[in-house]
Amino acid sequence: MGGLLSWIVFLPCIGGLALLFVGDGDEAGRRRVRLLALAVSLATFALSLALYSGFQGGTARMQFAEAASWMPQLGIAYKVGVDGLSLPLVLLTTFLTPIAILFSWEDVGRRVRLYHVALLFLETGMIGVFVALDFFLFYVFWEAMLIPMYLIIGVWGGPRRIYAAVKFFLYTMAGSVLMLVAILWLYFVQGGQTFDILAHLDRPPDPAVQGWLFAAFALSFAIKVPMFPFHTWLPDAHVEAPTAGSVILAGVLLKMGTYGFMRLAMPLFPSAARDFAPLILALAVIGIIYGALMAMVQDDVKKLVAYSSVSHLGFVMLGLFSFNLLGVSGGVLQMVNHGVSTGALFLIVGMLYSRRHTRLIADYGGIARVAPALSAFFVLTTLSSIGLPGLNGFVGEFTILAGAFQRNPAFAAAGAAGVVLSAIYMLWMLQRVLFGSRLAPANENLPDLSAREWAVMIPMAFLMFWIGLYPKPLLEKIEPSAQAWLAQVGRRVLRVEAPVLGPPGGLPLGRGPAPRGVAAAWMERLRGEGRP
Amino acid sequence: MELAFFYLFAAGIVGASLLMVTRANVIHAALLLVLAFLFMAGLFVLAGAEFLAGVQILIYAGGIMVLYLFSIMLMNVGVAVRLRQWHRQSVLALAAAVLLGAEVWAVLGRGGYPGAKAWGWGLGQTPGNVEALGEVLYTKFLFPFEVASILLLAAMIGAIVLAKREITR
Amino acid sequence: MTIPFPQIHWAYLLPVLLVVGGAVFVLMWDAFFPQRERSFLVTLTLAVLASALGASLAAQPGSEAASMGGMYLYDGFTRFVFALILLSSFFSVLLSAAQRSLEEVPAGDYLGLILFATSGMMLMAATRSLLMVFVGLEIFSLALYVLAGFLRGQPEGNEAALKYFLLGSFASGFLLYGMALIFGATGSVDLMEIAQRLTTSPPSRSPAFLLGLGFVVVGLGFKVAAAPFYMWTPDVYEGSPTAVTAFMSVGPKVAAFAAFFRLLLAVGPRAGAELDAILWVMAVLTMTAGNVSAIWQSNIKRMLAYSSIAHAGYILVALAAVRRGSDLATGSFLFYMLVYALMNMGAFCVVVAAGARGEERTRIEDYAGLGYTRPALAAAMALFMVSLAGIPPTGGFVAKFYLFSAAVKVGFVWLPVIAVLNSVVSVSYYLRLVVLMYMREPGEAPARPGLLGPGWSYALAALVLAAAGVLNFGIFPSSFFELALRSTLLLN
Repeated sequence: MGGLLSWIVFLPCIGGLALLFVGDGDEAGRRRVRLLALAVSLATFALSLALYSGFQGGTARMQFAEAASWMPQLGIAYKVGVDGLSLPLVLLTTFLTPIAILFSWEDVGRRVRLYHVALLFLETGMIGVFVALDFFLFYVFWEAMLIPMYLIIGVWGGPRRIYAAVKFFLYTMAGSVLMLVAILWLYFVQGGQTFDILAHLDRPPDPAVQGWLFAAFALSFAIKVPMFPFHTWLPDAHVEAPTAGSVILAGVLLKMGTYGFMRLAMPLFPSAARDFAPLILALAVIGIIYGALMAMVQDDVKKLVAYSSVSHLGFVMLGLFSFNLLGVSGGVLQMVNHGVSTGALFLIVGMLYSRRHTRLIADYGGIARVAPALSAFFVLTTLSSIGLPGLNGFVGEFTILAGAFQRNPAFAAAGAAGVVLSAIYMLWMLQRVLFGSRLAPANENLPDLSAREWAVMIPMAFLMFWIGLYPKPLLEKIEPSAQAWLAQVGRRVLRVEAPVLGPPGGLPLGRGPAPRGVAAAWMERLRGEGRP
Repeated sequence: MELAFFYLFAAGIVGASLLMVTRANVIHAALLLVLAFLFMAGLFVLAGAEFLAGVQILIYAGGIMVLYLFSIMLMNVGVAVRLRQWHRQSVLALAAAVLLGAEVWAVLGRGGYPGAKAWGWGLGQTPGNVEALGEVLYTKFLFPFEVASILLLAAMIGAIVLAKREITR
Repeated sequence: MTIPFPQIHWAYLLPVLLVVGGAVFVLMWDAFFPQRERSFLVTLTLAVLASALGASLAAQPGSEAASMGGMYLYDGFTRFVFALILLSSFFSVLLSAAQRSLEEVPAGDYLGLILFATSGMMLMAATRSLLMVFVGLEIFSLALYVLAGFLRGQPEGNEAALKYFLLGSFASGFLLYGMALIFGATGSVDLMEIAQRLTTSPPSRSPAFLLGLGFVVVGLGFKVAAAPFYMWTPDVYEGSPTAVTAFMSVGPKVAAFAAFFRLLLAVGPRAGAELDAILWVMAVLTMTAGNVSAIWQSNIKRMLAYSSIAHAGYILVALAAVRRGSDLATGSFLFYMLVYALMNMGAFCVVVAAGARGEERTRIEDYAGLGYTRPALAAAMALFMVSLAGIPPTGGFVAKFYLFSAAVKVGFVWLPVIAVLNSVVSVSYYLRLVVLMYMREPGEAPARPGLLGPGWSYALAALVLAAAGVLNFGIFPSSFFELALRSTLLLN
């Protein structure tokens, strides 16, 4: 140990342990706690930037890989590494954590030390999930991160926080324990006697049992995503969590579900993934439409954003299970985008709440006149979430829909309907909150952004523009891994189903060239013309 | 002849036990228990286990019964006579006992003890079984024999602790 | 006629001799110098236990494992189990010294009985003979019956002691009858001989043998509190002094499970599939009954009682695996018991330490807001609860992982699935305590109740030891698991 990646994973944890020894009895102590937590999270972010700049594009192999013996009796090892699929999510995590800490500066006044310790432990858990290359390690991080999140919701949340926290914990735990049995089964019955994820990728189990194993893995990830109909914990958790908790929850935790599908469930059990694809695509589309419709009827802003998450993550699943390059790249990008946009939305809702202590849309109206900067950011974030061209949301959603279209136009059409619906509920909400002629008397003295809130929002806005206008550097790092992933998933699918599929090239599976249509041309443009 | 005695003793045990558990007067019950022990000793004699028969009479009929009678005397017998003898669970208990008895009967009736014929009882070749018992007790089973003294010591201390508590209260 | 002196390996027997000798010494000392300070006797007992632990760790089991014809057997398994039993006694002595309500009891009698119980457990685990299993079981049972009712003038304590005694004697009867039947069927009480005769001779699977085996399973099932023989557990755990409860929840289970293991390894492979079904059903019933009942408890000792029942159910999974010949099962059982001992003792220690002067905090509601009135204590409790629930990065998770690995390895699928679903159920009651401690404001809490009593240092030592162990086994379990794996049973 001692590599860059291990430092990124464990620095927050070390910082959290150090925080335990800082008193938070008085205001000065609380300030010290906040400063130290911020410093640790910023240092982690700086390290992850070093990771980003050191990461070589153009290759799909695991980089910054580290391995150390851990429990040799069962072949369990400490193995970490990043590739193009996990790198963006690591960056997202290290980026959002300092933002969350900064936002909580005044938002969280009670039990400050415990709060920041939980937040930093949570960061370690989340990064660990994204970089783990050993099943055991993955599972440890996956479960360990539940506790800090549970505390964050349960201690600093809203009035129904205990209910929401317990529901969150039990749902996630119930889903993931079956994965544990499936992992053990893979280890003992599948053979190899190793928990190395990469080693298992080369040895797909017998198709007859893949279905059971896939179901066990998929259940835990589907609850986390959350896919319809496993989503019911999400609105409760989001609404009751403190703002920073919602940001982390929406920004990173939900991605752990989609990442799990991408890293484990699909490449490990390709033929089962193929068999389940129609079901999952259908659930994804239902989730997109259902989430949008639910969002439309909410009168609570935070709940609205929560349901929009259900809808947006449906897009990610749609992209992943399209089994083509467009869908997958779009899916990865959409994970990051959703983290940024929805995170920012929760931040703005949190700002509104801290001013007025209400989340009901009806209590606002005409805010744009008293708080122009806040409103400007609100508009920007909403547009990014809807997917306005030029902002980040567009790139992801468009590529996903293009990918889904190749797979099945009907799903793409339904997905597109979801885009329209999201524009409707978001803009309608925006109109009711920011504009409108009536300005409630209570809102007349609403202060605009404070310096700290500026500091929180500017990086978010920067990221929205950056991904929207110049995604090339990021895509360059994602793409080789996405291609390799596709080869992994697709090759097996082809091998299993090749006789049934008919003429090769009918579907862009495997390593063959994708059909050069409008979408492909788009991808070329996004990548930048002069690809070496 | 032997069989006749066996049935006599067996009937004696069953009859005395049944009478014992149905008596309201505890003293009567205790005396009936002595009777059951004596019949049991008879069974042991029939089986050729003279030592066990002697121990049965000495320890159970002699020692333990005296202890029972002592503790019964210390209690108020009059109250016990007036207490309700049966309660609703007795039917259930009877059913369970009959069931268990039938099970044991069925199982043992089918197979018996194959070990007895195949390997003997592990006793030595000495003629009388007092000697045989003595020999295995001091050779093969020496360790349990010694460890049993720890058991007795622990039991004694436990009894003293409980008794001391009665006094201090 | 000459009687040969039996072959005895004194180095192997030393741990037991130390404990028994210590018990006698403590009793005598208290009788001759009753005016001496109580803390001296506590320190002495701890020293006895520590030296016995040292002696058993120092005695490397070799080829000459069996003393006195297998009546006393010192193999790697014995060594590890000795360490577990001595560790749990060590903890319960620390807890007893910390518990305020035990301050007035006669220390010599109390500590002597704890040491006697310890020696009984050790003897029960370290033998190949059914006879010694019974004698050892009776030694610790008698001591525990008395310890359960040790607190004067507490009706719950008397009820606990009486209930434990009556039901325990009944179970002993079953055990003894079962052993007699096995003896009748095979002509031996030595597990090795029994195993040999089962393979060599046709009438091995005689009905008498199977019936006897069934009765032995009932008797041992009672001692480990497996379903459906667990009914006594909550009442006895609730009524006994907390330190004794802690002892009861670990020590007897280790000993009885160890005997169970030896029995299954010897006769299991030949006893047929009936035993498989029995163990499977017992495991499922035990963990489910424990977990589901624990949800509704309002008394923390009752909750921990049901939780210990549930954990016995998990361990039965390892027993089922061992019968099928899983080579991982023994090691994972030992490791599980080690972690279980630490986390359970830790949880009881918090209960002891949270107690105010004169009364214990036994209602779960009493723990509301503890995270803010006594943060360190609450943090330790949260750690133990998380570990009991089996959530990483604590020892409880790793232990469960190993245990279920052993089951999956021999082809069980539904048993581990039911077990992991059970641990989800268990999360709800373990986390209820965390919810109370951290998510509720403290009630009209007695401001910093009797924290710095004379027993505090003992409680602190126990807490630190348990918490460090639970964390260490969660993050770096490898070396101890290696040790547990190598602590194999020597049958022949």
